[in-house]
Amino acid sequence: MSDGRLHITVNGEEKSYESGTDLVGVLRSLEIDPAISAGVAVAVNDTVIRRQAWTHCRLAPGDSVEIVTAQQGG
Amino acid sequence: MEVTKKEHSENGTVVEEKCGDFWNVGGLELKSRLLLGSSGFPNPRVMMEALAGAGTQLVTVAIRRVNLKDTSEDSLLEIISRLPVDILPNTAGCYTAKEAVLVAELAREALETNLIKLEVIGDDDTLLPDVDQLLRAAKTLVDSGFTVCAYSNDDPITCRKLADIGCAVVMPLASPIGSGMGLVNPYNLQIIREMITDTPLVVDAGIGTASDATRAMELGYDAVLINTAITKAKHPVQMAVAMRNAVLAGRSAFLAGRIPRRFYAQASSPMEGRVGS
Repeated sequence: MSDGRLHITVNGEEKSYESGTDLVGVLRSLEIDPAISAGVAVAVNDTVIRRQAWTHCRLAPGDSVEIVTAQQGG
Repeated sequence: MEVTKKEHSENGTVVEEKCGDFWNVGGLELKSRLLLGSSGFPNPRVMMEALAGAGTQLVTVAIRRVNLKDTSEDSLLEIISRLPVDILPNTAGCYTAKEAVLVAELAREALETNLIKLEVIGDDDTLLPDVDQLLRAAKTLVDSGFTVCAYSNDDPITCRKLADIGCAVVMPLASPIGSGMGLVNPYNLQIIREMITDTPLVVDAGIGTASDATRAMELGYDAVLINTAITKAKHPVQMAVAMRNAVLAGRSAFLAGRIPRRFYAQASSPMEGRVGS
């Protein structure tokens, strides 16, 4: 798309952000505070982004972001 | 004549905890031989009580996408962290080695643990493992420093391969996940135990009731992993306690050493000195 916005997929949902939004921006938009995010992990395009690298993680159009946590499971 | 009954001594009534009968998962030393799944409890309070009632020290969790619409829901981790248990994340729902490895890496990052219960499923109806993908994922994860607890079918050869790869625990199924069918092939489970003496073994999946857990432990398994049989019982907390006792009974019987089976009777009272003989 050429509307100047950042179109990415977050947990399987199409999302559109202001151009230049980085991973921390995406997390904040979901009310996930990167500073107190124990129990959360992130992968971009099937690669895990370590917590300490979140602040440096830029996103490109078409990126697929997965944000996961622990849930009940057997 | 007045008969006074003597009280049973407490000594010897419980094999648990007192005798230093530990087992370990990749260096994590455990007293409890009952692992619990956390899925399907009616509410967090029942889960807390059941985990406590079971006396478990290791609880499985799944790794799933954060709910984007509501990130305020009660955190499972917050609930579990109130109990003296470690968390064993799983790769449930993965169908390929690639998916399972990614989920394991996400689990390690999210939960800061190297423990992973590896499940690679081959089919929706049976939820049986895809052996080829399972072995590949196990190798990759062991090489990456994970403590792999591998859910396997009850095939001795596959279990042997998983142990040889370096899995910390091999976990053959008793019967399909959630089926409650119990030990459908105890002979294979026995062969697996006899073949694999250098790696802890856990019977995972298919336990339906307390006697199933006891039988698994009587075969010499190090532990059992139970989820549905507890969470879907009419009274989950009561079943959790029953399972705890069942595991203790089975372990104790295994250590005590059962008598060999024989086809014909053998009198337990002496034959000498019978009246009229």
